[in-house]
Amino acid sequence: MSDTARTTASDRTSGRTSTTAPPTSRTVTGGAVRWIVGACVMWALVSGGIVARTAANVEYALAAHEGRALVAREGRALVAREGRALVARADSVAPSTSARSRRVIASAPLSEAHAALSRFLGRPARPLDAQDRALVHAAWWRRAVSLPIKDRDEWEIIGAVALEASPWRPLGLPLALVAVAALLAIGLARRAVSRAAGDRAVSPALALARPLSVLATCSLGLVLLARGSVERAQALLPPATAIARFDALALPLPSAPLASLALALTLAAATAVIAAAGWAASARRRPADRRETLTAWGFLAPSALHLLVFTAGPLAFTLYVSMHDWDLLRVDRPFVGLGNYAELARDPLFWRALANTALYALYVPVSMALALGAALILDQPLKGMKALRAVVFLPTVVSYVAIAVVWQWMFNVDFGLLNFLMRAVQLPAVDWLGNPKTALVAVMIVSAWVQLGYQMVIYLAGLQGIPAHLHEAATLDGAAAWARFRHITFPLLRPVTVYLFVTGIIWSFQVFTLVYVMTEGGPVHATDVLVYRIYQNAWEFRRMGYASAMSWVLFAILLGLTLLQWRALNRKVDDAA
Amino acid sequence: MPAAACARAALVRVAVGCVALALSGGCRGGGDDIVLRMTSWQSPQENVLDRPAIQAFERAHPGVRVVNEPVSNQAEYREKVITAIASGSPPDVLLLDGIDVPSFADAGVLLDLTPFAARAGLALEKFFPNVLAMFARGDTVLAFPKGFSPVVYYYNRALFDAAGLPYPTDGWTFDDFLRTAKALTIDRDGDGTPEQWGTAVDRRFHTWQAMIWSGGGDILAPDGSRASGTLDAPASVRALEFLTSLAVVHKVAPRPNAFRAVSGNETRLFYSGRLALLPSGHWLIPNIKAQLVRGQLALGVVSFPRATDATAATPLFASGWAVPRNTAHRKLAVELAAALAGEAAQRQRLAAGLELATMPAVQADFAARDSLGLEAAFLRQVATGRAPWGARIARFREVEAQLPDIIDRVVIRHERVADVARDVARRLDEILAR
Repeated sequence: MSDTARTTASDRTSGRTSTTAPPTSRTVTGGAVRWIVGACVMWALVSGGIVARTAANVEYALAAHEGRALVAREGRALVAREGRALVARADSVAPSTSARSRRVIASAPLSEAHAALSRFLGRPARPLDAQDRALVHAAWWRRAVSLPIKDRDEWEIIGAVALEASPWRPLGLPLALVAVAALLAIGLARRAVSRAAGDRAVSPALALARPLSVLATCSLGLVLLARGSVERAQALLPPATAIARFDALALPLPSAPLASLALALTLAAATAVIAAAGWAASARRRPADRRETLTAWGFLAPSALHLLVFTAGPLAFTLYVSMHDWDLLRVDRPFVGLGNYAELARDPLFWRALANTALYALYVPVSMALALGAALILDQPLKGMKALRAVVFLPTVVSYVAIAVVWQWMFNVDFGLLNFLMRAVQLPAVDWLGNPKTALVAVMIVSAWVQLGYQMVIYLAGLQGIPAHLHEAATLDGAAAWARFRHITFPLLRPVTVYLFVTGIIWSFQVFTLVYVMTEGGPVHATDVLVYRIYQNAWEFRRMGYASAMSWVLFAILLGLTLLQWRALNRKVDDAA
Repeated sequence: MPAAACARAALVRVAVGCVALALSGGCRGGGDDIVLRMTSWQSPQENVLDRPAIQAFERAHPGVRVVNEPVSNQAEYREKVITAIASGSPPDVLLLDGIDVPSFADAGVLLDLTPFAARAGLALEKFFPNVLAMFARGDTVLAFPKGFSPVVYYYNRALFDAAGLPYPTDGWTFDDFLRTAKALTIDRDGDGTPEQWGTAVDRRFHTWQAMIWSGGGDILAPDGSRASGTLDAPASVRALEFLTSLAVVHKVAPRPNAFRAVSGNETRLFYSGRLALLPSGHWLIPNIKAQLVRGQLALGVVSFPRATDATAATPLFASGWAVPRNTAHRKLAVELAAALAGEAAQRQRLAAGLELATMPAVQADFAARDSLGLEAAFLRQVATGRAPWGARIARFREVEAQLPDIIDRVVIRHERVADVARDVARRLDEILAR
């Protein structure tokens, strides 16, 4: 087979015969290099931006730290004069470069501090007053930072410290490193891809391994460099003295900037890897396929990123939290390993809530049967059906809280509508929400009522998708209405039924609002369900770790149920097909 | 544009956006005003009453703007405050419920206001000592008390008059209470369900904490470390038996239900003149103030009944203005908290009728002008007021969540009070030992 006219394997498989232009090494190399350059440039841009931002934070923190140390040192003189101990505070963040080149101490009264600061800055500072805004925080004026000096109680501002920054010194090296790493990676990648294009034994993914490793190494280098810089800077700074209460005021100097730097670089590297992997996956296909794949990746990227940041990330974080004794208000959050899970196993209320949740889920098939019945009725071509459909659908769009409050009244033992109707037909009144035997049933009734409209609409769409000629043929063959429903309608609605069942069960395991508003889990925990228990532990008892462990158990249950049901869905859909 | 080029352009835009976002994050904008953020769970009506104090504060501090961020649902409010503190951006002034004092104090997130009260123009000696004590830990004061209420029994004067009964007086006993409730429970049509009830039993703990104390018992040991030996002690069991017998044995109270306060049977029955004695706090007044003023409803207030060998006592539920330790505007925040808890603000707020003023002089003055006599009756209860357990131990929310089970199990499942008390006490021990 010649290179210029060959039939691709995929075309042969599909029975098509087409003659396509050969993917010459030039085409492959050109496309690959464009993508690699794009990935590296993106990496450099994102990394550079993050490094610049982080470096600013680090520099600011260093300047603020030094400012506080300066206050502590110079404060002794002020204490001698003022007879008061001093503290400095700096908790705002501003872009900057570096500090420690020039400094000035201004002391009370504030007018003198103002004058000194103006002289230092070489321009008028803003007017000062008793509640001076500029000095409430550390404030940046161009490349200078000023810190207020306050008395020990942080009540009055009695002076100020200012430091002037010197530009670019620490930022240059990380930026240069980013640029060099990007250039190096581009060069290596260009060469590797050229080689991959010429030598079919080398896969593009393998060819990219080397430039990717360069990027990873550089990322690591940046982190280490930043850590080293901060540690060195810290070592150079004088230690805090007892006069300033750094314990209460200190910024988290080394951890926060480095953590954000590490996170940012990881994200940047991940971006580059994803882009390169996308290319690698598509490189071995036809150009048209590759373009399609890459376009799809482009469109998927925002959703994937959203999913990663707002779903997968928090999910992983709750797993971490579930292994700690985690109180939002406390700084100490000791690691307890699987202790929370072990406590769950011993907690009778958790098992009660789990059992109640499983029982509660039984409303789903009931409401589905009702919805199917309603859909069959409302599918009739009669006058007023559209209005009736709207009425049935209405509960779906009403707030759950409003529904719960209304149904509370409906269930009231003394003046509720349900008991009024029961009394009218000589039935005894039932304390629906006050009796442990009926409370969960009452909540299930409300849930079925709420879900009915939604399920009815989905069934209605399913019914209207069934070809009319099937019913006509069956009618001509003498099939009765029940036979037509049993042998045509219901089998063809199977995918809809399974879909409603799967989503209904998942939603039922997440029930919260109705229980929270109607019963608060009572009486005697008869309506205590899993999500209510999670909420109560997380927010009322502030046991985030324990609540997270419960969340993971719920997640595992739902995942298992979903997998089982999807398997059933696939089989039933195949059967139906 | 080809699809690949389109995708490339989109990716480049995303990258440029990331960089711009990263770089812009360090810039701090904003106007010249200092903005003080305050938050509470107060209703819109209450927030209106705070406006004069806030406006006066703003006038006294030019360039300072107070932004009120209320959350009317108390549970959501708590979530918001805890999240804000945990994320390092707390409001400058927040309303602190008494039940949160121990946990917030233990976490060290609140500023000790003691050194600043005088500088902010607030004399701590002006507050009720037992109310201020709820917000104190040792020598530190963590909030300026805003308002409070004891839990009392409201009684419907018209029903007493119709039955020819004298009005109850403070210090009455369990026997007096039962006799009165029986006399006021009336089944006119003889169907077994009274049309008028003598009293009500509420499953929520805060409504019957006073009954345990007034019966000589308690929930937890004095140091709050355990419940066994206290909750299941004879005095506590006797008080619980008396309470639950009102619904189960003597049938002078409708069966307590699981409803929340907003739709509770008991308050509806009381408002409509079908219930004679209702346990509640001062917070009931705003709902019926118009009827009281117009004379459509005549109420009295009396202490909880007591066992013959015990003294009546009632919990004082209070809230106060606190300042987070890491506020950016310490001085201003403390001054704002002081203004909100100050005498002028309290006088203004009394008009709402939600709670008592935390300064005796202000409350006494208000009581003297109250023609209905309710305020004076409430004021009398302060002397027997104690800090509720919620204001004393950090884990009390977990403890409190277990306590309605006692009422439910006795009333619904007909279990023995002593057995239930012992069982619940054991569960509470586990919680407290954790």
